[in-house]
Amino acid sequence: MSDAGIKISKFGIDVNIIPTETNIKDFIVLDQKDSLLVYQSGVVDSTTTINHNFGYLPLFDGAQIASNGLSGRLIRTVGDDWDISGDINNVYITKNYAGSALKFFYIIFINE
Amino acid sequence: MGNYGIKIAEEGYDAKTAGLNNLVFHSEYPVLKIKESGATSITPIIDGALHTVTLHTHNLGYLPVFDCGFEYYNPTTSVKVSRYRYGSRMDQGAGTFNVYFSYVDSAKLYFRYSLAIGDGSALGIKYILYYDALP
Repeated sequence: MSDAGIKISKFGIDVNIIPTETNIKDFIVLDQKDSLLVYQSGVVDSTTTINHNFGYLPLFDGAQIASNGLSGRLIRTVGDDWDISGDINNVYITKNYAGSALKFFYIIFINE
Repeated sequence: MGNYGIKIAEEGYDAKTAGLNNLVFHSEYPVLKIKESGATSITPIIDGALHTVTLHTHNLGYLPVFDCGFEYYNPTTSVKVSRYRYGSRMDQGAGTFNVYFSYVDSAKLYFRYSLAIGDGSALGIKYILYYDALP
């Protein structure tokens, strides 16, 4: 690292230590390394295609918003009521069961 | 947080009083720092048995946070779907299951699958590894 930039270390860690492969985890922020940047997040209640046009596959994630006994919780589904997939142009959110009243939370990152 | 550090609030919020959910950055909480990302492909064995593929050697000496995306087979038609899913998946066909997931140890990242249906086309896999350690 040159003498310009931002380094913030965790509590108890000397910020002046030289970052190595095994101690980078001890930094809160290290401007030498990319971090996750959120592109878009939201909640949908029906099948939705989100066009990002990045030209590369971005990171994304999603979870079903539960109701009934698990109201207010997010559930990582395994191909049940909802599915989320993506390619270099779009992220596809598919509602597999039209009768479901559940909603789906998604988050798309800028990172490839 | 003590009386030092950096907080950045969303527009319209006072960084001194905003809740965590209205902060863009708070120097007490680490951001995920990306070590590397990569892509590969596998030609899976379609036999219903469990198979493991080493995707990458990271040699960090601890369990890093990671994610893995993969193409998959339509569980009904067996045709490859050229879209990626992240995380783990279990697809149910007509009395069959296709299962995909990934995991790490302190040295390597692995992809594991059990496929009962598929046309045998190569499946693309993409992964990302962070320096941050799993607790």
